[in-house]
Amino acid sequence: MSSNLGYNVTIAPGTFVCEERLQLVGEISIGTKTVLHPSVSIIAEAGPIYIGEGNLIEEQCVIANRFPPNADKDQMNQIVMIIGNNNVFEVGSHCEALKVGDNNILECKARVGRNITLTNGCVIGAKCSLMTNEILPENTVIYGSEHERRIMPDRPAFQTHQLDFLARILPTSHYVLKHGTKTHAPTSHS
Amino acid sequence: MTSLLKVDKVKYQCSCGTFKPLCYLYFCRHCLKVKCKECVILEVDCRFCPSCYENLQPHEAINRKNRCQQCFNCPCCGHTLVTRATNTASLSANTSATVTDLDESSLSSTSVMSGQATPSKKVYYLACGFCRWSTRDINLNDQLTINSWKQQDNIHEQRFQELLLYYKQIANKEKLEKDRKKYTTSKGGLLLRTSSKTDKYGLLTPLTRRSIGLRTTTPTSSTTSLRATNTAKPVDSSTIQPKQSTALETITPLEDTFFNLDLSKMTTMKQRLSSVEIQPVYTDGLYPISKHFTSKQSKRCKECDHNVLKPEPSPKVIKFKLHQMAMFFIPDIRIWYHPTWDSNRENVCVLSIVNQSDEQITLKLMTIDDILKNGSSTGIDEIKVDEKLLTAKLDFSGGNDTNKEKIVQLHAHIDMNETDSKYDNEFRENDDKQFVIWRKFAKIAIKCTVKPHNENVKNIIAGFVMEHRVVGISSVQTSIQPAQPEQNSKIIRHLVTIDFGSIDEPALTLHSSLKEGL
Repeated sequence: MSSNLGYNVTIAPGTFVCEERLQLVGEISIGTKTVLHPSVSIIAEAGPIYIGEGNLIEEQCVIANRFPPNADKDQMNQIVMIIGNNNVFEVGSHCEALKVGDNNILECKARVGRNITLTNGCVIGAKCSLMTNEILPENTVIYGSEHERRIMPDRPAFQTHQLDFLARILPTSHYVLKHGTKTHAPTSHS
Repeated sequence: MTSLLKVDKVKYQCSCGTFKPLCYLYFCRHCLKVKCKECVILEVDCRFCPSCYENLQPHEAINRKNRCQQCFNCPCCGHTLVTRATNTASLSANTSATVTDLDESSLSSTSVMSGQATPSKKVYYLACGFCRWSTRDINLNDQLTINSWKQQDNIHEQRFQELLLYYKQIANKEKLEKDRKKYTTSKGGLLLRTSSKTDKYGLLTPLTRRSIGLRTTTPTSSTTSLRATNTAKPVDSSTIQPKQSTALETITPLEDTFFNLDLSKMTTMKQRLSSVEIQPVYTDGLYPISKHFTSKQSKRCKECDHNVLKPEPSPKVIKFKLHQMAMFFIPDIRIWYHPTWDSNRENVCVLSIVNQSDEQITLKLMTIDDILKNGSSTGIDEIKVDEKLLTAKLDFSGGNDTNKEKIVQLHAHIDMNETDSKYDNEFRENDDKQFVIWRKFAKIAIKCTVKPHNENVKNIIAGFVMEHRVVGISSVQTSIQPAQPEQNSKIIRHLVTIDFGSIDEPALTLHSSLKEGL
């Protein structure tokens, strides 16, 4: 963990958080059965981030609760970012959405802006970037370079198999953070 | 070399006069000319499915409407659908409660009830990995075997058949007519014109039919209408007329509810037109689209009818039987370096030349001015230079040298291991050091100056002429006499235009060792 900013992370039992190149900033809580691959960044600058159960967060994902542009950082009230259950953040995805429901999938290199609300069962396709101000209806699929949309009749399938597999495999080859609360004071800038 | 993938920067003139990037050009070794897409004839060699590589004979492919029966495209986004297999047992565990899943769970429960002999009964469905569309979305039942998907029924099938039959008839008649025209003399034509009653045996039916067509277009001509009435009856009895399409006078107005659209349930224009027969309006009408066959094509020179490109007929082999791309015969020129542009002075640029052919090449480079002044020498195809195309002047000697023709030698394009640096040195000695600034194997870098014609030039396009000898294939192969090497070789010239891009573009980077040479 390389960060000179402080963090305060609460990890529920049965959660697998790989320590390698993990970047944590601010107050973070991670629910049970969630798996974090190596080199994930969770940055809670503007307020705490709560991550629910059974989420799968793959390599090089960034989940960030950033300050809105042109905001006075000292005067602002804290804004909470909540991520629901059973979401999948594929490799290299970037999520700044303050509300993420359940069963959403952010495919590889997908980018979701701060003013988006993901409801349930939404799929943001690979390399799709969503920076609008809207609430996505349930089961929306966004795909392709033209960001075409359609609505699925069903939610995407659960990733339980994959999560079970990772829970078995990851600890054999990675250092995994133990459950409990960990605090790291900010290092003073010299 | 930032322009590595920007192939359309440097263009060569085809024998038809158009400018194309080198990689899109062919070279006919019989006419010894550069040929572009428009100068060759396409011939379809084999038809195959791009997904499963099934190779079909032409008539068979046409019977199947050039579509694969096993592979499908997504009706939603057009990507290839993949077959997914699931066990019915695991499906029943799925909590989502759509109609299909209910069906499957009941199916699986019955299979469990009937006994444990087939506990894992596999079912298949099609799914798109890109937009996550699947056959379950439109409530299609999963199939028990792979690829047993039925084609969607075409409601217009009967009409199509009717029309096809009719058109076949017309085609037959036209063919008959054509055949007869070969034998008809002027007398026969006269005969027909004077009296149509001579057509005792119905031999002239197609011709008289044509006169009916004439009548309908020009009803004022009384003689033809008379003739038509004489022969109309036998003609009609011999043809099958399809049901005439009727024009509608009244159209029911749209209901008010029509405008309360749920756009997420409507198909897009692209989706609608990709399945032309059905053209579904709502997304639940989308159906997997059979994959279109693709083809391997051979290309033939229009001038001498020799093949310039012939692939292997098997879809799985990527080799060519004959592969005469211009790249293999003509040196490849690329922009290596250009400075920040100054429209008032001569800008020093570096071009790279790569010899892609298997033989050593002696290149003669000439400026456009040389060509315009001296004209063409004997035995060389003339080059027409359209000066409007060019917005800048390209010079090889900075404008102060009298000897403007530059001659350079290039090694054959062979394996690097086989080339010795000794050879490089040999050529290096003959090089004009001010001109050839770098050399390695079959590749050289040359210096040139580019000066825009005036200050208003926005986009810099310069050109020059390249001359070299090519060896072709002699059209008559005599086995007794060994073919003389010089027999069918010829000096050819190419007009090359280089698009340096906008005048505002920043300079390209150049290696420091080469910078000294500029």
